[in-house]
Amino acid sequence: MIELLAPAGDLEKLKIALMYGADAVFIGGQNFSLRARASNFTLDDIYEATAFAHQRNKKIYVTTNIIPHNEDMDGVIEYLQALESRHVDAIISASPFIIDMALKHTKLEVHLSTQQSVTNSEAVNFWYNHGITRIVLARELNKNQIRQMIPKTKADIEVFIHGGMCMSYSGRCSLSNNMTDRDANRGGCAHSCRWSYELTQSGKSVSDQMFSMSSKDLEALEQIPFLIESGVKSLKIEGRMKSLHYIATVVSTYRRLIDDYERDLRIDNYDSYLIELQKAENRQASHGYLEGLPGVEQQLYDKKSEQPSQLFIGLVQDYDHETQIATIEQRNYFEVGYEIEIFHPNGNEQTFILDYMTDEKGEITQVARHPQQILKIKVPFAVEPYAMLRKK
Amino acid sequence: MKLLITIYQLKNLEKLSVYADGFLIGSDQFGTRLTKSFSDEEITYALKQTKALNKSLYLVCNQMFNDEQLESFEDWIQTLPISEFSGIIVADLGAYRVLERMGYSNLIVYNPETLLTNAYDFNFLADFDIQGVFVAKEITLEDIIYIGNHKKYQMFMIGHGHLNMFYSKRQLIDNFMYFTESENPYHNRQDLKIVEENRKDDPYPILEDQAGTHVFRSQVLSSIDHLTELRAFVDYLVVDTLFKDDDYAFSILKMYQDGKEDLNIKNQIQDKYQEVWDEGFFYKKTIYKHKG
Repeated sequence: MIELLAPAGDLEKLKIALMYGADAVFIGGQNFSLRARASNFTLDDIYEATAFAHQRNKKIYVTTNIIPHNEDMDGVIEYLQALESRHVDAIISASPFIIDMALKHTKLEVHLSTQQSVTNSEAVNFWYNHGITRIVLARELNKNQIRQMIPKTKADIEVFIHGGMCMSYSGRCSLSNNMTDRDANRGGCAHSCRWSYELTQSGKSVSDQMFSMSSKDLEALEQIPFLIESGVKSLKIEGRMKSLHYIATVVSTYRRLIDDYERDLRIDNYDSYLIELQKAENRQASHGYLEGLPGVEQQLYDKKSEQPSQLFIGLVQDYDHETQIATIEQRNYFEVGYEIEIFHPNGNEQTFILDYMTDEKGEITQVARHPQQILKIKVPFAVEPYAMLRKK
Repeated sequence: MKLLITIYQLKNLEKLSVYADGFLIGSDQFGTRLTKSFSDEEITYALKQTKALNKSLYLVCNQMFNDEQLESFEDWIQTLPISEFSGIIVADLGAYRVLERMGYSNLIVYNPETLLTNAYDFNFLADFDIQGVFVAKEITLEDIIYIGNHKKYQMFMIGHGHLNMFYSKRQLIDNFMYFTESENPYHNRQDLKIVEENRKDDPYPILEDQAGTHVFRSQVLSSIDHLTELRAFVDYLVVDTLFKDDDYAFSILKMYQDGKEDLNIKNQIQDKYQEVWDEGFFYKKTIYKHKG
């Protein structure tokens, strides 16, 4: 069965990702990981994460995917051994040093990060022969090239299906290093490729419009059946810095799509999945390279953000079946009288009109205006912890 | 330390040979960011010429390949007198595997641009009997010296030129021109730059070629003031003349062979080519983690 792999920037997001349908979650530790601005996990967090995942027969992978400089080498072995002792299922790495230390000093499974930009079966097999069991392919391959590679290797293949796109071959870009001194391969990418530029020839502007290299995000709903049939082992969602609601929505949507396809062996209409994704998506999306070399339709010239079609307003903490009172944590403003959709971890959705709410002191209130305020509301059907409230 | 240089016109091979120890040449079928795409006939001619001049010739095949391109690469290699080249520069480990299988391991020079940033990673192909690798461009001189002192095979290094800092497979200029509903006369042009609104003094050269789109540093890296240190461990120092011409190559080579900066010539060059030299990352440490 194909794996659905999700990102998480903290423990709460990790639990949400697993509860909403991910088979595995990748996280960054506090050392040797890119995405420095994601709230990276302590070793204690990682231990809690693996315990939570393994109870549910799911997996945790830790990114150790920086390209280290000489000064960054100390402590790698100890850190990898600490990950092993926290029962991490695999690490995701790009540097031969980190890879070799893991293979030599631990029994950790090693996955090759997309920072190595592997684009062909020969390179896949180079790394497989090196002891790496799974390769995260470069995003620059179309779906047919992916399919043709798989019979040529014993390595497991992981493919990106959703989220932000590096505009350069991953790992080979130093725009950020040069323009901001922030090291893209050591967790500091400033996303300079998404900025606006003037394109000039011999000092004269060639257009009155601003040049952009920026890409729409990847969204591969319609390619999922093809990738499953091709023998891809893992489908990866990108975005360790994304919100709780985004992760729940995207994971749940792809979970439902994968399950529907594996049950029926066909998907007749993708509209319902797309509508679901749009409840949390705030960037324009396209299929990236999966249908061929990206043209103008895959570029992002209009930088306007899109509003998610639904607003995430609260997270369920508890539910009393006798009183039908749910304890919730507020995430966005709402008030009595709103039509609210409950988004369950199993992907189901139910709606109701909010007619009763009390605050922390037990006093009846009409509005929930404070972030992370704990409130009690009446919900006329059973809800479970980690269910989400959306404003319809 | 030998000096390798890129070239625009093969008629200048002999002239540049006065100061160059060898040349880099390639075809845009398999190479990228080339001064010029040379035909198979021209490449074969260059091979004969450099042999007669007793100079090295390196074949640049630095694209990232998919499986189909790798098959074409293998077929193409078989059409060339490949063992007569001094080496083949590849950026992709798939190309390395193909050449190894064909028995050309000793010709392979691996240049993954940004990835070989520490002594261990620099040496990670040392057991495979290849010729050498390029050290990363984005590290300090101190780091380069440390790696050089621990190298297990030959060190190649970009010593002069506009360092590339971005390689996308997308045809980004073509896409943009399509978006603006205009023709694209800018493919393969070497006179284009992009200007970021907050960095107007730093126009970045941009090149769209067969392999994709590339963006380069605004300033020209110069290592002229550090040749004494570099000679201790760099085997091949590359002068990349992309965006310039062979006159530029001649002047720069002379200065590097002389081993010291000639302020007069430097000023003339900077005036003529409207360029500023700096020392890249030699003394500029990039930030490991941004506390955002």
